[in-house]
Amino acid sequence: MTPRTYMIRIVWPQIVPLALPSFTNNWLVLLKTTALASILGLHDIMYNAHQAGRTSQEPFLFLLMAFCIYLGLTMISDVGLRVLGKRYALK
Amino acid sequence: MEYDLIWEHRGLFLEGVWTTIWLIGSSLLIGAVLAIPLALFQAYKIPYLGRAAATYSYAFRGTPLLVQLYLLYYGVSQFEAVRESIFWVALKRPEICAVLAFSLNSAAYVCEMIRGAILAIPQGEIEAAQAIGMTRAKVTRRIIIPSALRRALPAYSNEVIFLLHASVIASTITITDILGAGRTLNGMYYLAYEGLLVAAVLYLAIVFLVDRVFKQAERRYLAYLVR
Repeated sequence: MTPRTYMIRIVWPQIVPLALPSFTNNWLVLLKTTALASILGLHDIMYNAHQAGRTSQEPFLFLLMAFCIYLGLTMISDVGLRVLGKRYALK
Repeated sequence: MEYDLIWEHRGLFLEGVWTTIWLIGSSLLIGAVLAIPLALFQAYKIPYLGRAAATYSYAFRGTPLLVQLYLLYYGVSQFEAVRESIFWVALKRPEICAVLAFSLNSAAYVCEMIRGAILAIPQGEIEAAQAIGMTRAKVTRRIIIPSALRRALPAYSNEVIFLLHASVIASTITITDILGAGRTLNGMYYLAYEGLLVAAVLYLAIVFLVDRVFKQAERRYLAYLVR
């Protein structure tokens, strides 16, 4: 095997299942941490929800929506990464 | 660096340190008290309560703490019924909202840790307790809870540090915690980074201390697990 095929066929399939659990963890933590960027004025989910809540006088509604969006993103990532984990599971 | 200005305002930072410490101290305490029954509901698969605890834990671990804090501080005050209820005296104060949000968040994380720790207890320990005639409640009280709390210790030290880091968002709802003190100092004298640097050093010092304390506690309470 050339180093390239060795990497793709032998090494990669073995590192993925080992690295995936901590990657998943990191992914989920970072996903939630991005909300902090809104404090510095980045127009992310959180920023828009907060501003919309302010102008419409209905902060609860919009913040609850942000809550649900983040929860949805977490659930999608959870499922997606689990499917990936199953695909790469060592037999 | 404006060392003189920093030294002049040491009281401000001291107040910030105190605020941060009682904020996360009380949140961790309330969180732990909530987490133990929630973890037991889940580990024992109690009908409805177990599922409810799992859902609660997932929802609070799956959303940013900032959203939870804003929901409590800005969101809840939208309702007239809340503003006129007796809870308003408490809920209009940012400190109470912060402690509440941090406690609920911490409970969700700690609940998951304790649940994992309960499942990690060797079956033999539980069987031994049953064999000498302990009832289920007694096994829980004397064997499972003490063992689970000890086993959760290493993960719990991470939670303490995580909450300490997360507590900086309290400064966004006008609380003068360590970061709040740093931002106040910066704001007063149009400084760019002095306040933030002092805040960073103070957080670092607290993390260092927490780490030391937990290392000692682990050496003491987990001595029987070291091979």
